[in-house]
Amino acid sequence: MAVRMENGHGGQAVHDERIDPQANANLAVWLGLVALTFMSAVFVASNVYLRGWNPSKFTLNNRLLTDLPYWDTLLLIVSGVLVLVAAAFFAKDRWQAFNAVLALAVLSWVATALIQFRLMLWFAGYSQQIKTIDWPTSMIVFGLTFISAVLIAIAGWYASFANKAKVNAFFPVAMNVWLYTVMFGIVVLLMERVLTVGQFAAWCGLHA
Amino acid sequence: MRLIAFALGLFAFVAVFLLVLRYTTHLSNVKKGRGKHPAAPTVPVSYDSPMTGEDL
Repeated sequence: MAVRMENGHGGQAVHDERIDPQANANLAVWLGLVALTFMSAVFVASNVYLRGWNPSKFTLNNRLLTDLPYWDTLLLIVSGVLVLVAAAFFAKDRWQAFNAVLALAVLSWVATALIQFRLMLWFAGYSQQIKTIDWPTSMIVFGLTFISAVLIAIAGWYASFANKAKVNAFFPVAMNVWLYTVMFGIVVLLMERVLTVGQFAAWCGLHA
Repeated sequence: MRLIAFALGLFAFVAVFLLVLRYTTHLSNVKKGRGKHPAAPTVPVSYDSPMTGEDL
């Protein structure tokens, strides 16, 4: 790669100091998300472990509440695939197809967020143990999906500009949040539904 | 067993973190130098070139 010292292209000064603000933004967003991961993990583990509740207290005996998270996560994965498809069109500058897929994606993300919101309310009213573990984690997942939907709306708004510089800068960085949200949703499902919180508590060394 | 599960989980977490970071960096870089500087000359001139327009 030829290193060029560009001092102004038609008044637009591009001074290349080998600093890539967008790569820094990607890393910064990811480090923030990593911090959120550790906060959530410590929060859940400490609540399960330090409170020392009997693992059987974490059992959910509600068909809807045990099944709906699976459907919700499936929809979340579909949402993730949609933004990846949008990213393929984004890389090829096919803006019309990009906007169409983004419109589908925003519907999917909003639907996921709404289901998550309803789940959050149901978990809050179930039992004290469920309220301590499932409620806060579903709150975090709802927050992430809601923020993702807002980020997609912003990306769609930027994509409507004739000058694509803003969407070019914004979309790759927002992609970190979308992919993280999908991963977080899958991990929460694995931790709370596939493995039960009770099994997790037993894994922490608590016995019935 | 518990230690293996923990190590595997940590490894997967770091691996996915690096993969996504790589992907989004690629997504950023794919647009670099394309449409970002509309006023830029179509033939880039190296500062050490004899100004013939040839990219050395």
